[in-house]
Amino acid sequence: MKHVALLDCNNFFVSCERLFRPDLGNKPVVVLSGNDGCVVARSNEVKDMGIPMGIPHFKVRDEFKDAGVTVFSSNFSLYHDISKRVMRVLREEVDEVKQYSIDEAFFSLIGVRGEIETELRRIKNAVETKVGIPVTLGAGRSKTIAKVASKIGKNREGVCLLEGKNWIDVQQTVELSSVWGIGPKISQRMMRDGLVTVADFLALPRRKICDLYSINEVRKYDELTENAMEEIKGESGSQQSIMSTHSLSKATNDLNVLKNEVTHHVTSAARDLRKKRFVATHMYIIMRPSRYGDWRLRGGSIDITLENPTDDSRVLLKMAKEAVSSAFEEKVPYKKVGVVFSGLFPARLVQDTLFAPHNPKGGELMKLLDRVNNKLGRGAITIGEEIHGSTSVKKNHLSPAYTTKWTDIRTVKT
Amino acid sequence: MNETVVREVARIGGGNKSVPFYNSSPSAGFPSPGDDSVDQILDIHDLLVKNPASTFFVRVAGDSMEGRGIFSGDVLVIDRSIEVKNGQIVVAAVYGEMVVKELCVRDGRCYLLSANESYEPILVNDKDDCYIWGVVVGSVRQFES
Repeated sequence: MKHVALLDCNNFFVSCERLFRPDLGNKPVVVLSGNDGCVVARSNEVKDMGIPMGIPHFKVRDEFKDAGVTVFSSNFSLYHDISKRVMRVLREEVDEVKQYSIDEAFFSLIGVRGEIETELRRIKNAVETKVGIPVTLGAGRSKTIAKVASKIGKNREGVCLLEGKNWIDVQQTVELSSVWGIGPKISQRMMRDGLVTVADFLALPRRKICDLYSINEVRKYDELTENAMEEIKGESGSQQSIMSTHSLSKATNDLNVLKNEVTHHVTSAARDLRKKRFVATHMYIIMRPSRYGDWRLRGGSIDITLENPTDDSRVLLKMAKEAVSSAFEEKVPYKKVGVVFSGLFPARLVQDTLFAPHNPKGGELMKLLDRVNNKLGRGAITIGEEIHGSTSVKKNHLSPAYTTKWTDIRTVKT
Repeated sequence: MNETVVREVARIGGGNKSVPFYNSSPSAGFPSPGDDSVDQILDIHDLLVKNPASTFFVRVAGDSMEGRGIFSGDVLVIDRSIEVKNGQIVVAAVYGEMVVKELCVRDGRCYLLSANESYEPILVNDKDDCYIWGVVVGSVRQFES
């Protein structure tokens, strides 16, 4: 029998920090958002203090000091690297993996109940041993149930299979507002209709749901009643990368032509990035000659790590153009040009729109830019040469880039 | 959709830093025309890193492991996927500190040994604050940098 499982890293950002700081094992730890604005990750000790997700740091600064909470700025190069390792180990263990976010991935499992639980434990052990990040695995007959299972699993030694009777048994304890894909608006409406838990919802006949709600809720109903089996792959989930590349009709060795081409690709890929509400931590500029000619070993790609993940075309363009200039080689006939953004994070984790002292209008400006260009056609407004002002972001509690910079690797005593 | 592309791109990018491997040995006189074509690229990473997802690098500080050829400033290659066994050189977390020692299991007890007589063995208890972080599988020492 086929099951859907979800791997969810526990307090992911905090766990990444702890991996290289054994001294923080059972101590309270938080990670702040991109500009040290809000709390975006909490250790269990901090959750137990009643500190809510997303609270502005300044509101709890004193409380943190009194309780000895260790505070980190977000270290995206570290989290991105550890995430890649977790996903890689998972792919080595099972087929059909679909990464859903930086710290979650769905996959499918085939087997009967006892086998599934053993399998989940084996995968959990593999990830925790090989990468060192604690994870929870939940499984059920649909993605939605797997999500519920992974939440319940946090209190059950990290593994939970919800199926048949034991799924029915917990339905009364699972609030609809906590179910994946039921937003606050719908859950409030359900509340008014007297539906609070999954058990309430499933007590209604399907026909009634069709009458009362939209197709999305009917689909949820089918998933929760174990009557829908979705494929893991092929659905639009979290994206790994966004790219824009193109082969030039004629090879060129004109730096200005290359810069223009790269500008075009960066602009278009950055627009895509903003549309999907992501920020990028890596930008690869592709600049290479034809694969078949004498120059095939020259050129390549330039890997730029964005210390402060961004979707701001101005920042990206500036870096891209600098990279093109520095990598440019005389005489090489460049044929393929483009850009790839990877290491994508949801923008909400990075931008504290309310508290960002830098570029106060950056986000707004980009929105306006996209709006105008959508209305009047691409390129109606483009970005000029230089960005003015500083783009530095406050990161007062940044940990070393333990896995991505030689100068930052962990020291061990002998 | 773009994963393969990114991987390919990363490979090309990395290639720039690698050392080309030439097919014939150097000699005075007329060079082999074949030397123009690069057959292989030797990447030191391939030698040291067998399991990229579980491999980490750390830098050594201290002299207590010199007897095992580990010197201050060396970069150690740690593979967390290697099963921990008696006699291995390991990185361990001991009371909040990360240390590199030789693991010794004797009479059901775990000790961390130094390779230097002036350091006492450390008895590792089962508590949460002591655990093996990973097995050291290699070491890199640079003489000039």
